[in-house]
Amino acid sequence: MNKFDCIYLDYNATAPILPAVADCMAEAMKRHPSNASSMHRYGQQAKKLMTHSRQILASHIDCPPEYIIFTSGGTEANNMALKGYDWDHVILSSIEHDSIFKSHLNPTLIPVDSQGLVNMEELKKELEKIQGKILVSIIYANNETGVIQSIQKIADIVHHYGGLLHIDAAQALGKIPFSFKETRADMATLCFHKIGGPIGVGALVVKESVPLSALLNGGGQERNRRSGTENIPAILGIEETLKSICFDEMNKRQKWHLEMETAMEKLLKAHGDTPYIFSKQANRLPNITTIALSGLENVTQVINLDLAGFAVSMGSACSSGRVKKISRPLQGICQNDVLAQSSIRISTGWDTKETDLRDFFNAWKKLYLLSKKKVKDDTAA
Amino acid sequence: MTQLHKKLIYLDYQSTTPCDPRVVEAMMPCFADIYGNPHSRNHGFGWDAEEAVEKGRQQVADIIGASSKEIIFTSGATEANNLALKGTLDFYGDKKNHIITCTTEHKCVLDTCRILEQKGFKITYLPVQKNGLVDLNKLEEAMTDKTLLVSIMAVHNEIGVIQPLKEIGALCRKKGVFFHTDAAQAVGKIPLDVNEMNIDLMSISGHKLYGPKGIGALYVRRKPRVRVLAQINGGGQERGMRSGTLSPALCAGFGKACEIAQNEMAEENKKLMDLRIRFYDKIMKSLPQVYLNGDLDQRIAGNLNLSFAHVEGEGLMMGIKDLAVSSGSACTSASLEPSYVLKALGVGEDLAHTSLRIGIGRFTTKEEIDYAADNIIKAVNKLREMSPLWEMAQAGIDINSIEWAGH
Repeated sequence: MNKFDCIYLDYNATAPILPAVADCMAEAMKRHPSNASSMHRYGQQAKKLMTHSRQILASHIDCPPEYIIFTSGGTEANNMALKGYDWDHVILSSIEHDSIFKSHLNPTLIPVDSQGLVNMEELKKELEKIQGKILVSIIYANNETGVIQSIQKIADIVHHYGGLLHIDAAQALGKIPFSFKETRADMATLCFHKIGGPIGVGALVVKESVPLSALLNGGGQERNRRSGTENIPAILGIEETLKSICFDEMNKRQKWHLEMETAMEKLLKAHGDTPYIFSKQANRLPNITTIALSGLENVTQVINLDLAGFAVSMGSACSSGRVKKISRPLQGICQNDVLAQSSIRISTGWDTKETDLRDFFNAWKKLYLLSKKKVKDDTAA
Repeated sequence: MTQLHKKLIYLDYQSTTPCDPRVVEAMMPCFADIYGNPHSRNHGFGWDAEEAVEKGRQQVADIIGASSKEIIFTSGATEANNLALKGTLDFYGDKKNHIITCTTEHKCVLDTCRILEQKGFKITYLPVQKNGLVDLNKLEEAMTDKTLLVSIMAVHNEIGVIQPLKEIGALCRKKGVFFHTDAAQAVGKIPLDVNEMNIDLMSISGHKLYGPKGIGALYVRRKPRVRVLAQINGGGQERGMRSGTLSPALCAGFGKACEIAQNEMAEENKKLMDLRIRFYDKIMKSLPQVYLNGDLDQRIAGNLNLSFAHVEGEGLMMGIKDLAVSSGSACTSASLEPSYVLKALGVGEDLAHTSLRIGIGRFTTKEEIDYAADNIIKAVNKLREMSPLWEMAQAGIDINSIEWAGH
């Protein structure tokens, strides 16, 4: 428990930093000044540490170290992929993160099916129509429902039509086994703070065949592809974060989520309601449940659950201040404004305990029953 | 002293500064208790994170006399400079398409300008005077009715000179031109006031003032309003001007660094000036033909840039291996090209090659300064003893007049 006396279930927004990562970064900051571009020994040492971290990350995601460009985060990496070249056509899925969606003025959107999976036929149809330099950007694992795309199939289709594929893997890294090589993508965005790593650092993985130019110009760091003094403590923090990745733990959490979902479904059915869990039938991230309570607005749910001591969210954190906005990904999947606006996201991570989800379920159940009662009372009156 | 011999003495404070322990301390609570994404507005975790971010923002604003609403957090000064130049041109470029900057600006301004030139915008690269300072008359002459912005760095990263900001600001205001200044090396080193100096846009770096790396800021004036189009799009954070999840820890650390600098600047500058004078006197008394690059008076306390005649540049670096100093800006020092900045001041190639930038900072001690000066004096003397050029110069031969045989 923390000082809020509240259980944190919003890991897909950001995770608490792993103590080992915080220590490693604090240590790095205290140690000595390190500008990896300096010629002297302090600079050389910084460069050596950075090279090592880059290699560790490269071998973790199965790509050559030269592919990795460190950025300030996932948002910058996504912007870079879309803006780093004058693409003739940019194709996106309808459930992309805002940092992709808003990085291009007129992208073509490919719809997804009821589970959130990209419609491959539509993708082919679009690709058939166009020529020139084509970029397709698809979110590998969605932040709001966790749906995981069949990325290799998408890559093969895109390549068949001569396009390049960028994947936003910000939510995938550390939650599912991720090999850049196996995805067959040409670029991938990585982000580390969703799994307990530092905020303020990310990476874009870029094959050498992609003609990408820099978004930030300057000192020519990152082999001229991203200028700015390298954030050594954070880059060391990445290395430390990768050490913590454990899929057995993930599997355990997935079991908790599935158990909770079963209980939720049972409860709803017992009261004559139809449960709606987003991307339930699809291959999904192990740490997320996004469920609708139809008739109860997500704001009301989130506030009530917060009062009950649970921090959950109603979609992506970036836009969560704007209450009226309907989540584009959720809308894209369920094609139903009301449903999209009555859904909340419960996402877990390294510091979540089994009892946390059980306790959450009880609070959620209370909220649900209360709303049922209210509806009944209202109808009676 | 024996301890010092083993340790590398850090005199490269313009390249980066060590994080102040008080800064790290201020960041730790963010790591320990503050979970949340500061943009999660619907639970307490997010609120707490936002509070840390906003406190940091206020501290950054305070040190330059701005309002916290005028501070846009970025990943660093490079991004801030990119945003200032590209962001304003993207917004106003169809009406005003001309930017004036200096030949001696930091790479990230020059490189950004080059990109903008390729896009069809007009850039004037103003030469500077021999002392590194901008000639205000030339600046005024360069302005046209198409001039959108003047971008001149407040304190130079290599030669430490302080530009006449107030005068430049007044001129820009008079002419209706925006004034952007890259103040990465200035914030925390000299008093700055965006209103008094009529600064419209200012880039700030965290790690140059004993704060964390990976964070910086762009000050964007609100009255009269300056518009900047976002270069990184997404969740719409930072009032739409810069998307991306902010790190509460980095914001808190950056803010703390500004607060410390603001409180201690006056005293710290006295200390640094004493050290600098001590070092400079020692060198100048012991070595002939040492030249200072950049103005001596209009200069921050913690910087010296010296050229040593008749020594060989790489030999000099090898001779002072215990000192972490830089020859030229760190960003370009990996290439053994002489500094473009010194060239722009009219420093000859030979002297540019033998220049050292001595950056003195918060943790520099008198012992380190003495050791460094002695070390440099010894190395230069040794190199000169071996140098036929030095011998000739001693014999009164003007080396520049010699016509070398081709080979």
